[in-house]
Amino acid sequence: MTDAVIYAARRIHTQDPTIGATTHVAVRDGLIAGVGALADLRAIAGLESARLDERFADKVILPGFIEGHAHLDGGTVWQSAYLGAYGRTDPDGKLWPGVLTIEAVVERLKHHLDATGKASGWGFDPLLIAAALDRHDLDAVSDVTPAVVFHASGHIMVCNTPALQEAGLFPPKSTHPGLPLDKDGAPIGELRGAELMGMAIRTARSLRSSWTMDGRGALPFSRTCVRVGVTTSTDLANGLGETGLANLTSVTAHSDFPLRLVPALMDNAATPQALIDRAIELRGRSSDLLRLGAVKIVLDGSIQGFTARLLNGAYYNGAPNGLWYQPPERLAAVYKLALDHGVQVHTHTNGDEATELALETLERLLEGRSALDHGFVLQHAQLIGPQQLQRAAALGVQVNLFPNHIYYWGDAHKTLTVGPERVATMNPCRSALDAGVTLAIHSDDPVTPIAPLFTAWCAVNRISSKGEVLGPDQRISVAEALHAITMGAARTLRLDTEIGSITPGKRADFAILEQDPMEIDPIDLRSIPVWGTVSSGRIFDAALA
Amino acid sequence: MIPITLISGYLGAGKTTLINQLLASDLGLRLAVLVNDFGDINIDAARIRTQSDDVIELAGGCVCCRLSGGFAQALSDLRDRSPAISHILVETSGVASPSALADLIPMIDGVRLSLTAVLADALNVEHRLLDRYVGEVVRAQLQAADLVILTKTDAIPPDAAEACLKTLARDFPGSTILAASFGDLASHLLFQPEKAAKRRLRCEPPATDAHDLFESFTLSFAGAVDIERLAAALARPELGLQRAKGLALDHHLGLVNLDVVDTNWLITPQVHDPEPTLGVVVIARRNSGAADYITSLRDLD
Repeated sequence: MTDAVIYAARRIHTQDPTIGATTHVAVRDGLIAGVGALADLRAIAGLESARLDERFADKVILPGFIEGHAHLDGGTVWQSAYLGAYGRTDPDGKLWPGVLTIEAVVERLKHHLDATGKASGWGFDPLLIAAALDRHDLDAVSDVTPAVVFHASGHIMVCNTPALQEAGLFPPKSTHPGLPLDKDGAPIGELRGAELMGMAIRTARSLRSSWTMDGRGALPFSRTCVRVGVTTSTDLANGLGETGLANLTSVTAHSDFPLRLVPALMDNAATPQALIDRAIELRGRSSDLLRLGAVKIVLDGSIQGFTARLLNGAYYNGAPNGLWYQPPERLAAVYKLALDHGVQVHTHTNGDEATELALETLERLLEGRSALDHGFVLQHAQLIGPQQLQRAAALGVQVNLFPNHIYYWGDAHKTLTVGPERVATMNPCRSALDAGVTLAIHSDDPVTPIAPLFTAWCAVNRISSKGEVLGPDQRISVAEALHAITMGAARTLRLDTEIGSITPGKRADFAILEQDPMEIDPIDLRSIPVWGTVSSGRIFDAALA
Repeated sequence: MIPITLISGYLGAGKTTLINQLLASDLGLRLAVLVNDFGDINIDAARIRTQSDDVIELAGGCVCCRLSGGFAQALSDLRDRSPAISHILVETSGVASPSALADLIPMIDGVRLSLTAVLADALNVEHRLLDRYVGEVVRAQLQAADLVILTKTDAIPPDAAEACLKTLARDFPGSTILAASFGDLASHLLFQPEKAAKRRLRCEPPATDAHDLFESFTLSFAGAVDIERLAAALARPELGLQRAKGLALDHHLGLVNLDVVDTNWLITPQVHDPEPTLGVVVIARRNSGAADYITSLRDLD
């Protein structure tokens, strides 16, 4: 046993209802040894003469924030140029201003040429720039080596002429619905949909090594996490092959790695049995900072990509219903084996029809079973309805909602995807809490930036990027939002006995803030500066990350 | 141009079983099979020459590949193999529409779409078509089919199988519909049927009455025939033939299997049959005039 340290703080919001807010926390061997007023801690055996550390005396301490749905790709994606319309901070802490014109896109790509003169970019959003990016624009970056740009949606990529030639699409051998042509019959440069984008996969791979997630993204990702107060994050989902797993095991074993990583095994196994067998095997290979054993299954697509499955069958703009990514039989087989073997399942559902299928399947399988501690989580579940939330509560199903969508795509959801009525009940945090469902909220980084205080701000204010409040009835309080990014998220990872609150015996994981979220105007929640984190007792200063 | 056959169909329709059959039978073709996963692919270990994560090479030149780096990439890798692949079979995902892949094939050099075959499980296809979650997926698959193969017909009473066949023929008038129990599926899938047949069939108005859509009769011959002439006659586009299959004695080739699917035909030598039953079963659309014409073919001997 090593010596304990007592940290003094301006305030500690423990998220433990029996403790509430206090001023001191004692840490020993990476665990919380005690929490309360200094005099109360001094009365605890072993803490009488513990060193008092006052470096956080003017800070506010919360449990380390928990990101329940993000991807390590959020680290590696920065190898290519950020071309989004919003400013965004990279893992080195550098703020990249949003690019708002095609000229700015070209300019930034020109400064991102690799050693062979190739360029790639990500996050371009034509909805926000209100201009189209085409082959000729990217030929201005380079007309001899490939340049490619991915749209923020991930469903479209834009190629310059050399990249199209390398993919065998210039001139095209045939017409294709995903390959729009100009008036002269030449491709404008957009490749729409996974099939056609696959034609350029070799080019894209040579430009962006993050295409295959192999664990190398963990380091830059963890630096970003320190900056936003995150001490535990999922990587949802990961193929977890032996090479990738070896990388993750070695990276997380480093004494200065600041993050507890919770990868979920992606369901791309040959059979449900093979998937669950592998999950059980992985469970036994966990460490404190690498928690394995959960699986992820994807049922439908995305709402902004018009591939989510909707119960009413059609999108607001008339687009047809989306796609199933797994047949119901596969879902049922995975669920059944997972229930039999105590394996936790994270199910991606965006549309309410996908949510309906997940709930209905589980209802059937839980008949006759008494235990509801399966820990199943609906991930995104953005259109889940009040009646579905009641059923989720009855089934022990938890939800991890995506309020960042209200800010980033809320205006598009109102006018294009689901319409003004349904956007008001999208990501219904209020209804979830009212139904008694465990609630977490997430960023899906790199889809939107990881920053739990920003995600909490979205859930509290529901303000779109154009400044409109979308669905005021579904707003939750600051206290409820803070619970969602700590204890709520911990429950969705089945780690709530170890993290999520500042409770004696739990891991000493803290988010160190410069302001008190309970004292400020809720509209300023996203602007609270984060000093850094404490992860299993180790201190990480964001300024040094 | 290497021909490609897409093998689609909902989960459990029999795609993998079919692919296992094709891999197990010695067709004398350098066949490439593209699958999502090797999981249920069943290959006799003695036949495996080399094996990696994504490619299994078999003795005799067949290969089995896993779709890992994207469909287009997999096809161009197969196209560039040496010695050349003679036919590519693609097993599509159970919830995918084959048309997304069919659209992509013309974009790729050196390959062409030969046929989209969609398997339907006779036990439950009609039930699936009404399923609240996947009904429209199954419908879209069947609508994209050149050839619908009704599988597991031996698991239900013959009249139920016949009824199912007729329902599909009524609801999907653009496709040729066969029951798998009619025989060896390999010939339908591999002997490079032409797309013209599909277009012709699709021009026809949907049948208003499912009953009596087809008629079937047997051509029998006393002696040897000119099998190529017979095959060509049966495959005439204006005949609108659905299917013909049987055993005949050719003047030069001896005992042969004849297999006709609309305008395509295949002749394969038949060996080791001491007591062959000669005769060709023909299925044609009723009142198409095919019966009269075909009956006149008896003169071919």
